[in-house]
Amino acid sequence: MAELQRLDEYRWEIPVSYKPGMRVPGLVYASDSMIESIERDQALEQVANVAFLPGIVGQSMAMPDIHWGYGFPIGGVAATTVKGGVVSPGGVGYDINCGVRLLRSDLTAADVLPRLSQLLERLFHNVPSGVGSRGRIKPSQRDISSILVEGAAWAVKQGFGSQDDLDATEDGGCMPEADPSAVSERALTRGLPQVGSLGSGNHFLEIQVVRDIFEPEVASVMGIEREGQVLVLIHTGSRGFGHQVCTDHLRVMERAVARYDIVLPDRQLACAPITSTEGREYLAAMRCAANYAWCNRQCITHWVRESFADVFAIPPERLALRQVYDVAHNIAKIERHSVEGRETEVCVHRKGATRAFPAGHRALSERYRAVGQPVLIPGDMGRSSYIAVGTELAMRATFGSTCHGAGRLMSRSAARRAIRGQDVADALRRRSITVRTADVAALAEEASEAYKDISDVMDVVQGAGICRRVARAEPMGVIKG
Amino acid sequence: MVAHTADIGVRIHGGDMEELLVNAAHALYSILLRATDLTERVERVVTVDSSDEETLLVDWLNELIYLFDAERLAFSRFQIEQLTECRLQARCFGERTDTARHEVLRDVKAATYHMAHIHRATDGYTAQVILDV
Repeated sequence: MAELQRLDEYRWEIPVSYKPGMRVPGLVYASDSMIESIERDQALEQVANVAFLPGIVGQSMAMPDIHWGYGFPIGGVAATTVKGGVVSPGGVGYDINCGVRLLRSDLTAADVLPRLSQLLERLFHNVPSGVGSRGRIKPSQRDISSILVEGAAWAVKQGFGSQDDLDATEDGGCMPEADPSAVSERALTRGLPQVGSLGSGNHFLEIQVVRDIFEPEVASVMGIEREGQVLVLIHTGSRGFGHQVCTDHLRVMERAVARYDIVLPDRQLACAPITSTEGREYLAAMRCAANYAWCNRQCITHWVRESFADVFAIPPERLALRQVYDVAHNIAKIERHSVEGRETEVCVHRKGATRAFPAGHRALSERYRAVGQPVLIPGDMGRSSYIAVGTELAMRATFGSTCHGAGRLMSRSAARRAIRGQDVADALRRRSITVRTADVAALAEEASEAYKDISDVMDVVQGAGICRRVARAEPMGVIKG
Repeated sequence: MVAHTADIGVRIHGGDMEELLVNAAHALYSILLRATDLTERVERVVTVDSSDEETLLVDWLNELIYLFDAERLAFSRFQIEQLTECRLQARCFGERTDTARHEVLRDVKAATYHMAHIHRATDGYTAQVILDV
């Protein structure tokens, strides 16, 4: 893209003049070497397209894990003013509140290694995963309404966790103003049997070992105290429920675009004013899906604790598998940010991006108020995952947002053509990483070669100051959904 | 297949719009299932109302994705009973898939409007749809 202008070492601008109709510039966080691969597909075009959304303020942003999505790029962040601005379901995506949850333990790699296979088997048995997986919970119609309104708290009430888990979850695991009446029968039918399941695709459950601690004081607040310590990372979302909410409301928005005279360069960006009936109903349903996802991760957390307790023959309460944090990667939220020097209510769309609030922010629970919000950034199965923390600069520069992962380099079909799933499993085994999956062929799609190197992505966000590295962990065992 | 970094794109051909829609359904099932022996035990009428041909194609696939995810229904034969630019009614014949007999290859979240396109040429129709997987 000839118009792409370098602002500094980590930031690139797409000027408003690039395409008539852009309301704000595009801003891409990337290093020199990354920008080449980013330019190879349509991702930058998508950053420019998002800048067409009515009411967008600041810039149409992309984090360094940016890659080609549909409508929004993956790694996209856009804030629109509540007054006069729009909400776009494409800015959240189909897997609403796809996110990650991290648990810490008192166990070390040396404790876990001799029982790793047994532990993975137990987890694989206890946490439904894979294509078309059905949950272990059999909620009634009444239960599902409570799940959609209460989120993770519903699961805690059933005995699947504690208040401490909720305090260590973005929004306490429950978005207010979720309204089940905005949800279709279809979404309920699709979602009901899947509560408490990991799913497939890029979803996983990973046993990790801490390799580096960069900020010991912050890490210790998170319960991460030493190298060699074992962590558990859970990555899943709102399953078919969220997919159907997005499908239903995109259809509505598709029609709303003409009604509100909105001009868009891509139909997948379909949107409606936040204060319109279509906008309000989408947000009410999206919040239900976000709550579904938090409930899902809460149930899975409980089975993870049970599995560890079984294998190590220690009661769950003595295992100290305390929750570090739980973050959403795909979500739209009404937040207050400074826009042109004035505090303004905006709808922040994070499509493959993580909230990264700094120390002192009122949205943070007591535990993290002094250090800032933990930001959980998984890499691919063969490399690292990072635990970071939000910064004041992120509040000013990116509406309190940072990256969410490594970002794909290769399409799923290209990965399947180039790589064999069994080879991926063998290569991981040589590096002492054990994978348990029902679908070995699908491992090819999630191979390291199909992703950017997470450490390169972290160099950019750290260098740009939109989050700070706290610790780095590597996988020991992976349940691939 | 069309290359797309995040997802899977499909390119479909058909002599006319009717054939295009039927072939799009077959393309979807080839991604969802290794389905060589779908029987015709279930019959279902699917109706889609959309604003134009492209959205009709996307919405049709989303109906089938819903029926697959919610009810495990997969279809192998289709009778188009009504087709206009904005409306499709199809009688679909297939069965409830059974993991013992049908290998489910992947979950598909939805068909997207992104880059959805139908091209008319002298020898028929070509369309492209990106699926979020």
